[in-house]
Amino acid sequence: MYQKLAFDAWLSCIKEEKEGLLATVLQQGGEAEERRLFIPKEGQPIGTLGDTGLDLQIKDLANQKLHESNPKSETLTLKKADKEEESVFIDVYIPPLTLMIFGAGHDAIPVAKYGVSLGFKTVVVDQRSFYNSEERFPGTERIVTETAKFSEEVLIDSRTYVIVMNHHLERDQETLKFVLPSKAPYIGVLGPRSRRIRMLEAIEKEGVRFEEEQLERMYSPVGLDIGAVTSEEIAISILAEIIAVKNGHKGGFLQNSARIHQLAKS
Amino acid sequence: MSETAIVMQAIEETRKAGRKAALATVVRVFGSAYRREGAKMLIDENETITGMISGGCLEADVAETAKQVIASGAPILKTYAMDEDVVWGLGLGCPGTVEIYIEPVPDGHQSMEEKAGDSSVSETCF
Repeated sequence: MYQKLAFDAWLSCIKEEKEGLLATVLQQGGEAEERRLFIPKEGQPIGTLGDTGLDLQIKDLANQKLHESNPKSETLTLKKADKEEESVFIDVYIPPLTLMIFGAGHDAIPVAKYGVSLGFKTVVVDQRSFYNSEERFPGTERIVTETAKFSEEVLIDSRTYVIVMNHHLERDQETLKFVLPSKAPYIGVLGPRSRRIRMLEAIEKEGVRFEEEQLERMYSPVGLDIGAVTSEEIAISILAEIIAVKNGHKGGFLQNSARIHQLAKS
Repeated sequence: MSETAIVMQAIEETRKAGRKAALATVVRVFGSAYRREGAKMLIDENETITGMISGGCLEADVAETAKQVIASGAPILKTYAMDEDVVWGLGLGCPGTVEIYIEPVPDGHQSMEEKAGDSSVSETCF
C-alpha cells in the first residue's frame, strides 16, 4: 500500500511542478508487490525499496540529482545490504524551465509559440497591453509592466532563459540593466553586435558596470547560425540555441559526429 | 505542458474513469535511440495511447504487451535489440537497444485528502 502512495506522491509532485525522484525496482512478474521510493526535493520520502541499503543509496543519489540543473533519468544496478544486486530505475522530474521574452512585437509571436510547444513556461513582458495579449500569445503568462517596475513585478531565477527583443534601444538598455545582474543562465539579445556594443557603452556611461561572467551569458547576435531570415526562422534559430545551452551542447551540425547525445553525468 | 505532465494527466483521467492502464517507460538505452531514459507512454484498456517511447518502431509491440500487463497485473521488462541493418531494411530507422518497463498503473482509490489524514504514511519515511 505504501508503494501505491509513493506512486501517487510522484503524480502529485509532477502535477504541482515540484522537483522529485521516483525509484522503482525493476521486476519481472511474479513478485507480489511493487517496490518504490519517492523522494521530493522538499519534504519527506514516501515508500521503500524493501531494503535499507537500497533506500539509503537512493536517498544520497536524490540529494545529488535534485540539485543538478539538468539531471538524467537512468537505471542503476545497486547492491542490497546482503550484497545481492537489483536493477533500480531512477526517474527524475524537474519542472519546466521558464522562457522569458521581453518585447511583444510581431517577431516575438513565433518565439513564444515554439516556447510553449517545447514545454517551457513561457512569459512575455511588455508594457503595451494591446500587443501583450492572450490572443497574440496563447498559452503564455503575460506581465504588462514598464521597465521601471521590473524589480517589483518580474522574477528571474537560475532556471529562467531570457530573450530581449523590444526593438527599442532604451527599453532594451533598461531591460539589460535588470536581466544581466540576475541569475538567468542565458540572455539572448536581438540585434547586431554593433547595437550590443552601443547599448553596453551607454549603460557604462550611466556608471553601471557588468562583470565578465555576467556578460558571458549574453548571446548577441542571438541564435544559431542557420541563416535565418523570417521571424519564424529566427525563432527556431533562437530556440535551437537555448536548447543547446540548456543541454550543454555547442550547436552546429551532427553530420559525421560519433555521438548524438551527451552521456549522462555519473 | 511538458510531455511527462501530459502522460501523468492521462493517468489521472484513466483512474477517474475507472479504466485500467499500463505505463511503459524507457529505462535503459544502449547505443543510439530516438527517446532517452524516462520517456513514457500510457496505454489504457481501450488501447488509447498517450505519449511515445520510440520514433514509432516499438509503440505497436509495447501496446500489445501492455494488454498482457493489464490482464495479469504483473510488470514486464522488455528488451528491444534493434539491429541497424534489419531496422533500416524495414524502413523504421531507430537502431540501438532499448529496455522498456511496462507496469500496471496502481489504482488510485484513495484521494490525496484521505492520505493526508493517514498517520501511518510518515512511518515509512527515514
